[in-house]
Amino acid sequence: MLEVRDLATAFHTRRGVVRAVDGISYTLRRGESLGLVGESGSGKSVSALSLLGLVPPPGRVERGRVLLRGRDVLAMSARARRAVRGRDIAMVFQDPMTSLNPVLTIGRQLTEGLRRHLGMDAAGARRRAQELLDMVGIPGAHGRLDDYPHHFSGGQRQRIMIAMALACEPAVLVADEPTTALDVTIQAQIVRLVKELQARLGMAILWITHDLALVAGLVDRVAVMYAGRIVEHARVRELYARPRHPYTAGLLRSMPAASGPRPRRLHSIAGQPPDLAALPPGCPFAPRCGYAAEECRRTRPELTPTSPDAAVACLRWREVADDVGGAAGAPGVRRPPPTAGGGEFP
Amino acid sequence: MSERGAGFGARLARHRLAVVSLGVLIVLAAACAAAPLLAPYPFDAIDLAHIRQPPSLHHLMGTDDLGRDLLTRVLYGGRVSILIGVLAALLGTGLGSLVGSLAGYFGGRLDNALMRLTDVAYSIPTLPLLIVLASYTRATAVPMALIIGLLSWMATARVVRGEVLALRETAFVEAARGIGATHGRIIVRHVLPNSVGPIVVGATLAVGNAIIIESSLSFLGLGVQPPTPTWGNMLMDAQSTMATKPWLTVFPGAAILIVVLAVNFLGDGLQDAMDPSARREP
Amino acid sequence: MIPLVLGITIVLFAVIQAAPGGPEGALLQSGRFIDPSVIEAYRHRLGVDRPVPVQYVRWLGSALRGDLGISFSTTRPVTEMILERLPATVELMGVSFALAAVLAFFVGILSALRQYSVFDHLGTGLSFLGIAMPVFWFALIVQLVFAVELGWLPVSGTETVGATSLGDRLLHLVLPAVVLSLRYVAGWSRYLRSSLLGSLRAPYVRTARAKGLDEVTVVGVHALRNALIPVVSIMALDLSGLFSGAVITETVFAWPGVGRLFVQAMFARDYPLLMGILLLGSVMVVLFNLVADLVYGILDPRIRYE
Repeated sequence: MLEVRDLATAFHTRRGVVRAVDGISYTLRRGESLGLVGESGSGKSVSALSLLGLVPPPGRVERGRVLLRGRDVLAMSARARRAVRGRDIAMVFQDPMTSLNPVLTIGRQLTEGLRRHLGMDAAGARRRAQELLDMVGIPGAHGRLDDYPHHFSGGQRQRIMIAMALACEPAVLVADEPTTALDVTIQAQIVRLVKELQARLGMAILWITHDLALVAGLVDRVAVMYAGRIVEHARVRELYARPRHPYTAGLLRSMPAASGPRPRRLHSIAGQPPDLAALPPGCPFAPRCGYAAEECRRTRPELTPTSPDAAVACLRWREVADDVGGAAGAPGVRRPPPTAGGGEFP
Repeated sequence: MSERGAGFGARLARHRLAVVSLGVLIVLAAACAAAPLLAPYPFDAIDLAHIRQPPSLHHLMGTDDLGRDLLTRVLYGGRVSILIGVLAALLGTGLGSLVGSLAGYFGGRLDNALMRLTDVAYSIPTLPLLIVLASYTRATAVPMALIIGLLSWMATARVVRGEVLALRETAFVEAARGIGATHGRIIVRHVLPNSVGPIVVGATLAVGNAIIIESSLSFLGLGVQPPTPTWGNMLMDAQSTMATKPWLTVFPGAAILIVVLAVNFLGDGLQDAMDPSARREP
Repeated sequence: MIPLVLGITIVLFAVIQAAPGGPEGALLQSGRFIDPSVIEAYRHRLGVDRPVPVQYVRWLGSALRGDLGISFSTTRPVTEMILERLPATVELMGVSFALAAVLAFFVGILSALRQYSVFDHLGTGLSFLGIAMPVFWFALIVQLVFAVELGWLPVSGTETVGATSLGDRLLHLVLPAVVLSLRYVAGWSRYLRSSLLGSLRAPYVRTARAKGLDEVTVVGVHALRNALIPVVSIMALDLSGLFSGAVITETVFAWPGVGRLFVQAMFARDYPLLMGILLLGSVMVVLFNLVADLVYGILDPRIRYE
């Protein structure tokens, strides 16, 4: 359905060229959901914007192809791309408070896309908008089309954003940290909603987040991003049970455990995220990696398949996998990997 | 706060226009201040043999109806106009800071009352009111500066009030109260220094505003009277003389324009330098 | 609004009282002969031998009844004189406002869309010039160049004697309206530019683009609607300045409006007339601000009364 090949986006700033996305590739099959996980600054949001050509200047997509049903979105004319946005690929953004236009009614914001892409007339679009609001669980949908965003709570606004995204029944839904700005109970509701809608409408979902725990119950596959690259991807249970990249292992270790021996110290990954304008040669994670060897610092590891549907970009993945080896389905690691000289907290 | 100061100089320096403007202002102000030394002629030197001369080598800006050298009068006029402008701006900004900080700090009824007053002041057209007030006072520089300053406090008051409101909620104000500092002390020692940025910018722009108002009043015949020149009163008879002696109109007016323009560029540059995150947004 | 108008009347009354020698001193200011009946009417209207608060109430009462006193210089009722001249001022202010709004709209939007282009830099430069320009000087220069030297446009007045065509009236409007509007084109366009730039960076614009809407809709509806909100409040704030500017502009161009009347009254130290016009000007500003509030409410649903 959606195939991303070697996508790279850079920002040409006064300080230098920031390679926010440095050549990522993945595929998303019909009805599948992929979690794109990484910390702030890993480039995951920029990669999502790049799919639709929405990167603001001074950012620019440098290379890559985004193939939707075989057609390259990035190579299209601006007009054709606009037809794809909202219709075939739709996005839900992080902050529902500011992502909805405060001075337009939600009815207007919902029907815009319908009228533009599907050519509906006003009455038809309104009916469909009401259906959409019902679908996402906004009570009293009938009278609420003429209300403004500030009449709704944060959770409701995010539901409205989802309704807006799904209006034209897109094949792909890109959700960029849609629950980060919401509190935990609402988060759960939204996640549940999206899963329901996916089951009902059958679209593919790209779920972007920094929260590994969140995607565990949500997606089929996970891709982990670091410094603008995908360093590992696998089916979700496989990844949790047997991470093969030191970064992934570190992320899993740093999740607070709800069960297990207590008390347990919170682990964090030593060091700082890299400066994307001045990446070291070789593996970008090397400075923080407990497994790093000389060759890691010299050559950049490429994604190598470790099984039919998993791959990792690490020269020492076998050691990582051996250290880990936990019971299937149980997140966390058995033995802690060696730390990169510096202890447990930066 | 010192960190803010450290980057400030550098940021301001990057604003070439603001720096140039600052230079221009310093030069002009110095020239006007040094008028008695610089001016080629005494400002009231009537030379009936050379009346209404266009600009020439002897008289770089020409002469007026009484043969007085225009350049000299422009220089002397600058002293009055700039002096009034600066005085009025200082007064207005000072008053505005006072009103704004009181309103923002104490809030409640006082804030309400002061803001109502500000609304009233904004509603009465400034120039006509000043015209009436000017007719009450002696037509000399200081009273002029006073009344202009009296009507320039509103903008600063609004801005300072906003800043104070924001600061009031911060921890260090609470801490100061906790150790028993009086309100006055808190305002002067803690709150105001943090609002210095907008106050300085406001003061700078107020100078330009005041100069324009002063010259408008002089143009109408109010304010400082001839033979003492101000840039405004030199334009009083301009309408009748424009066609035949355009230099009499052009030079004094251009002087006003240049000073106000420079002041505005400087104010803009200061604003950007103080708060680079807001590339001036509403 | 009522408290605001009351506050204005109090301030203006204080101004009357503040005249050197008190309100009666004003009578002596002009140094010219004033008809005794006028003096008597003035003293009676103000109730100068009564305590000050009573004077205020009497003055306010008269004003509310439409009686703004008798002009010292012409012995005609002030209200009558003002009403005669008011249409001309409204015409000038109205046209200038509209002209400024249209031009500022155009320049501000284009500058924001073509940020850092030649047009943008030019626009910003001219804006600075427009804001720094003294109105009376600009009026004089423009008059000199276009009316006197080039003769393209009439020097002054609202119409050429004898001519009654619309075209003639329009020609006469051009220079005064351009002069009066300059300061506001400059200010509003800059403000709109920065406001629009800010809106264009907002997340909801990204959402609109992500929905596949065309640029015209994204900029013209989503961004602009938000960007206009603060600009409208600036425009409202500038109304009193527009009146002040009209005073000068009418004087230079001999435009027979209330502003020119004001300056003439000043020369004659005709205080009833001066205060009457001041009061009128203030009320006009308040009324226009009211309209602006309504517009604001239309543009920004967040502040509407539910």
